[in-house]
Amino acid sequence: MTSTQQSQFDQTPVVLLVDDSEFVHRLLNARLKTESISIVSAVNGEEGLKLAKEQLPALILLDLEMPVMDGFETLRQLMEDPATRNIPVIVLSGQDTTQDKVTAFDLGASDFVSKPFELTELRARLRSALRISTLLRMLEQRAQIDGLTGLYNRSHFDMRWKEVYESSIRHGKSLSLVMIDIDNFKSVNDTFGHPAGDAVISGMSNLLHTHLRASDIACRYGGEEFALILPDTTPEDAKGLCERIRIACEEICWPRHPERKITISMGISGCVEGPTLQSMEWIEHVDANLYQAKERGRNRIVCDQTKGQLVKLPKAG
Amino acid sequence: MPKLDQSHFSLDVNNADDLELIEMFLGELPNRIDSLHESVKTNDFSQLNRLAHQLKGAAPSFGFDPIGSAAADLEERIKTSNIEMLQMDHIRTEFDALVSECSAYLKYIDS
Repeated sequence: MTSTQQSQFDQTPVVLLVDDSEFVHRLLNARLKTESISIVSAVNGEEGLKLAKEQLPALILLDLEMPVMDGFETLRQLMEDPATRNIPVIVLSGQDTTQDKVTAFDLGASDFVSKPFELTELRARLRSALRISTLLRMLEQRAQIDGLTGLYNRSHFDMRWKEVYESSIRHGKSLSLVMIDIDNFKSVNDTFGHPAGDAVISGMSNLLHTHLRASDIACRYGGEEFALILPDTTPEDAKGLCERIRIACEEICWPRHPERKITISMGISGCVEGPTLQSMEWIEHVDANLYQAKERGRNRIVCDQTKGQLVKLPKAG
Repeated sequence: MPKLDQSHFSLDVNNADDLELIEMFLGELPNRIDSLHESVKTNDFSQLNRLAHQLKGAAPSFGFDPIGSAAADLEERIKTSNIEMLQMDHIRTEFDALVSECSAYLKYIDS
């Protein structure tokens, strides 16, 4: 999981160049050859918008004077779309009037470079914008990651659950959802102190890292609660995987309290050929299963296949 | 293309990357000149304005500064005129200067 998160920072950054002049494309391709970037070319605003959405480049170089859709309009639309809003844009322009610069910055441009280019300056500005872009992306990702465990946090869970759920509907594929709760966690904190409690939480996340597959999504759902999204996994397979995790947890000897074992309870519910519940109902149902597991004496799994039939909501209009 | 005389170019004709840019620009130039003539013939002054604007931006980056400043003059002349009322006579001086700067470079290849 962590390795795939890291890789987006290691790849050669993609820079999208939007300019109607063939000269500029050739020039910049030749002159930026030594930068470690890969240039994608668009010759007008419309094509630029399309490629920006498809490729989500690290940086956009945008010419102002283009026929049909000019640079300002392109910039406006880039900034309106949540998917492209955070991509830094360097505006390239032959008219470096103050008014143009002010408009460009007001519309959300990060920087402004006048034509004809001072190539050394353009390179320096490009590098600076790429640095900021990398930091922004890291920040964005940090906002999705739990600080203590390095697992995804609740807000990432909400987003991914929706995505995976919808994909399972589209493809009629199996999908399982798991909720895990550490048994009597409060008493660990009360008896051994909060650092010991933190160690248990981190230990749990290591355990999940060890047992889960690359396609599984593990999140810290709340204090001592974890949620696992298991795409392409039947409830039966999910139960097998979770059983291994449950046993492995039970066997851990905790350095801070060797005399005290830690156990977990789990609720699982999954579908075999596409969801039969609404996504929120599904979460509630898994929670109910987790509650059952606690009621029946903890350190156990309650697992079922989702029942019922998914009522398709009629499309509006 | 024959060996280019360094005295006409501000980029380095002995550097492969520079030479590629010079040759690319020179290779495109006859088309540009044709387009300039074409837009005058059809009285398409906004097209002429666009061509001048592009040359103004591009030429200096390729080391063709005289073309860049001639193109800037032409663009300026078109811009300060009322494009609806514009006649070829109003811009002839700047137009001819630009074409002659462009043609001058083409001669360097032939000679």
